[in-house]
Amino acid sequence: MTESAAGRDKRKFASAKKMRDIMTSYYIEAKSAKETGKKVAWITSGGPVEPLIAMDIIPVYPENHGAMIGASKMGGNLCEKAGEMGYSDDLCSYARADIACSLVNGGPIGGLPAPDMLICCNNICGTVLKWYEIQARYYKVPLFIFDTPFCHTGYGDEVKRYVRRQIDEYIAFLEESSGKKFDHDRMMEVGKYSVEAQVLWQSVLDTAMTKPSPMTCFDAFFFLALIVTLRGMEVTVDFYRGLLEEMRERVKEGIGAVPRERYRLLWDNLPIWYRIKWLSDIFTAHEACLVADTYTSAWCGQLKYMDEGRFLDSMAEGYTRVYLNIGVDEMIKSVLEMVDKYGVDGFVMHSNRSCKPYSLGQYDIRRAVQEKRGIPSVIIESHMVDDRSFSESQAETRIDAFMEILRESKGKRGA
Amino acid sequence: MRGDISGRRRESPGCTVEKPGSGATAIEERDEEMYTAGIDVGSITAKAAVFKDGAVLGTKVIFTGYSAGDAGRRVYEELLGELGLDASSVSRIVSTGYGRNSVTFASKAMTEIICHGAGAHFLNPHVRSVIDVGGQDSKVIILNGEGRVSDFAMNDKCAAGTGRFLEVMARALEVDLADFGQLSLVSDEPSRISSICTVFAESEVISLISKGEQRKNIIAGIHDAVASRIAALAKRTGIRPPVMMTGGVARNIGVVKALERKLELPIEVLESAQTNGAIGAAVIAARHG
Amino acid sequence: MNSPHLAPFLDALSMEPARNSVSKGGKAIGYFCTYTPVEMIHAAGFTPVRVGGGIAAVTAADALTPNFICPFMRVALERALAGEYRFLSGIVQGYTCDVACGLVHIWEENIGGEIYHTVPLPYNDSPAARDFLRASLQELAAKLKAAGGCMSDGSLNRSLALYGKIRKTVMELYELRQSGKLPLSGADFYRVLQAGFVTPPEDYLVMAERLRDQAADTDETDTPRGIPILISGSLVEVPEIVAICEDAGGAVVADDLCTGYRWFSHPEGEGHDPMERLIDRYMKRIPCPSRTRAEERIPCLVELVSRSGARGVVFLLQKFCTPHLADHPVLVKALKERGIPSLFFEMEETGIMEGQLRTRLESFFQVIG
Repeated sequence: MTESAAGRDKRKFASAKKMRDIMTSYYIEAKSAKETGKKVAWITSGGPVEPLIAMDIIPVYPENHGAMIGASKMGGNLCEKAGEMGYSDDLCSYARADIACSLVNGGPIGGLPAPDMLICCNNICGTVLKWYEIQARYYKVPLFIFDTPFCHTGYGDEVKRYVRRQIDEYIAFLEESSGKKFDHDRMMEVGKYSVEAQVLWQSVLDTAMTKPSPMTCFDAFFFLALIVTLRGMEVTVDFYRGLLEEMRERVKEGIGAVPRERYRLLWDNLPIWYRIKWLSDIFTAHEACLVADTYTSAWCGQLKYMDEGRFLDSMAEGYTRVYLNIGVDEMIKSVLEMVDKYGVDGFVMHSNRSCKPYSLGQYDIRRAVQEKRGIPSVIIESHMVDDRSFSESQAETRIDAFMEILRESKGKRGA
Repeated sequence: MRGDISGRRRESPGCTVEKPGSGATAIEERDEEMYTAGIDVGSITAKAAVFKDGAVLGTKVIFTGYSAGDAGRRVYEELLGELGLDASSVSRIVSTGYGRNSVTFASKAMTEIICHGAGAHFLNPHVRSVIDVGGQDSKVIILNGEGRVSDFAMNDKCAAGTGRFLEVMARALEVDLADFGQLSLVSDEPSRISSICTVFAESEVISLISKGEQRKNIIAGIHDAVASRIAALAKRTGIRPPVMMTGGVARNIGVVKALERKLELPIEVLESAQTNGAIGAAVIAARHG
Repeated sequence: MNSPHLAPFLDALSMEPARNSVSKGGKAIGYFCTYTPVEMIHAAGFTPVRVGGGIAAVTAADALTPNFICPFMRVALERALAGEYRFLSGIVQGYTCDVACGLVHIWEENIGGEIYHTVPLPYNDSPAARDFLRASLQELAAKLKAAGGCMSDGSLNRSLALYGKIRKTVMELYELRQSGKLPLSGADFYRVLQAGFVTPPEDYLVMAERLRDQAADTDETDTPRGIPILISGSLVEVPEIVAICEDAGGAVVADDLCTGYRWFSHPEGEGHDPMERLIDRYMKRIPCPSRTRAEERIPCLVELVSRSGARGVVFLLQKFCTPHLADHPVLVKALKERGIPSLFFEMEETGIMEGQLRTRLESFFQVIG
């Protein structure tokens, strides 16, 4: 299993440093907003960020922050603090870590800059409604709720009208909160960058169709940060263009993310932020590459609805029809498409105590994938940021058993 | 059984008879109306206390065993025997603990929350918060200036902040639980036990053992984990000093020290920590008698 | 008055009347929470039946749901998998929380039936939101029609009137009990309410009116003994829990439950046509925490406490219930600021944990008593 230093080096991404630099200057800018006189808006990960960028309001993502807290293994302590504040351990650990962090300015970057306004879009879950409400109380700032009705059966005219009307209300809210006029030309430009970045992100993810895959979902979890936080900015477009080039280069040279890739797996649900490296090492040791995931594609899965020519209208639809806001049938369809597209041999499902909407339908999805594609699956449990409820040994045992099954079944199929 | 939940070497359940100051030994000299008793039947041990003229005459601890009712009667009768008292001279008995309703001969049953509050206030009237950690429950009790309970909280179903957690870990480590307290004090680098689930934490401990981590550090880590859970409950309830800790786990110096660090408050532990509930029950019995 | 005549309510809890309506050729449609527009289901000619959970060992449902969703949903699914809800033609549900929404799909996939529908409920009340809700309800009407239902303005009007009457009557029962004219224990009172979820509404109205008349006729009063408390939460489905509260020294005089007050308060809405009245009622009803901010709930809770004379609030929450658990710290703080003590207890599917519950309740009553 050991690999030469040269082998490891060629697997390193040059873009990683570039992204860290962009993220660092972004957070520095956000944290010095008070000095520069800029407004800061906190927004949910699935929220419509483009109008903020068009109005030069700095968007800040508590969910991205939650991921950083988790990745730096500071989630357990912050969640403990939230417990002291009276918040149950059964609540979402992003929310708990963020709520506690506001009070103690903890975490890897010493807390987020205080918001001037909050933008909550409920297309990902109902928890964000409560979470943002708590933060609106704490910071005493206005909260805009962008209500995206659940789309179990397509996207009718009424939903369209309802959501579209809210975009106008949203813009009026931003004008009032920032004291600035909304600039439609600038919006068009931002919309163009947003769509372009999403197209590029999809292309980056698509490179994983190659065997061996130049990237794993763990890489995608990392490179996701910009499409979440800064879509609509030129720098993001440039970055993903560079990343795509790097991926294509690797494809050309046949560099796989996992040395001796033998098994191709699909990841479901958010990452277990505090065990990314650990999981990556375990799967690598099994010569298994997690080539794709249902999570990172959420930031480009709606491209089919997007139209940069009429960005605001298409945005309404795009934001309403995200993966978590559609029925299980649609989710199954989407998972099967990924299984086929990426040539997947096995399915790794993270049953995430922090995310009920993502974890609820997993058993039916699992069964459908099993029945329709005949591939095995494994379920690993965690709270995505709160490492106090994770069992390494249990997860490892499950993964090992799953890989044994996979090895056997793939052997039989003669792959 | 290797040890009890306290983490201190078990003095075999026995009797502590405190000699009344006046040297009143002859039964006939006693005012028969003034004796009261408290009986605390817990999940692991049953405790009794006898009270007279504003002072504790004696206390006793035995194992509860299968029948809570029998244990209550036994610990009471044995204590009376050792004190040379007749049951008829005890005017009022208050029972407490999870088996409080099984003590059928008690005049009244009160919850251990009220009794621990009363016991702590009796033993130190300045105390404003009591942390009581027993075999299956942990409780935080807030007292007002008059020693009345003004607020309280209890652990949820999870065993992580209770004596049970320590028992499970002692088994995994093959260490006598009675040695836990002292062993953890010599640790220079407590291990990090992150899991809040007893079962998961046990597997963490096992993997630490297999990695060759020193026992003293693992035990210190276990104490930190227990203390974290109790501290969260305490902070949620609005703990305020002075703090007293009662219940069997209070006799584990490692947990007490870890909890002091987490709360950033000194914690008082009396010799009578384990019998505090019974003492409180006897005090309440006297108040109402 | 003589002891109230409970037998018809207890009988109805077996769901026998609902089952009978199906065996006579009717259809019954299940729902989970009080945001489901039962009036429409009824107006289409179906019997709405609220699905119940309770306490049970969850085994079959374990293979279909993770163990970190509320016991209500887990046990309800377990009961459905055991065939208890075979007489239902499906589930219609308003989208309140993520779990309710997800469970509709799991039922559809695993229990079967011809009609499954989630009504997307708007979060805010605005003209746009009401327009949208109207469109959503029209979509539901189309689905009900496809399942053989037949809804007209006339039938909807009649159903609105029927449910309005039921809610008013239950409100009277609630007030009669508070004034001591309806000598029912808390547990029995919630049994009376529960029967309302599973009994064909025409029958239930008769039962409720009879109980009301019996109580209204008497001059005797017998106020509940014990320390008056209000129960706050979502679903309290196990009357034994209420019995334990009362046995430990309390008297349950009020609640803000989805299985209690929130179900029967706000009998009717206003508007020019039946659909408008229906929408108005659901937009103005006492909100669930999944549908509104705690700021909206606090005045409502405080008013219920003061109006009922409750001296404390006992939160009986479903474990894992995000909206209620998220609101809990701020509610406790708001109550404390107003000098109202509260106690918190989580309900789990495996059992009541009676020992702990009693210890907490007895201490609570000793503290506030």
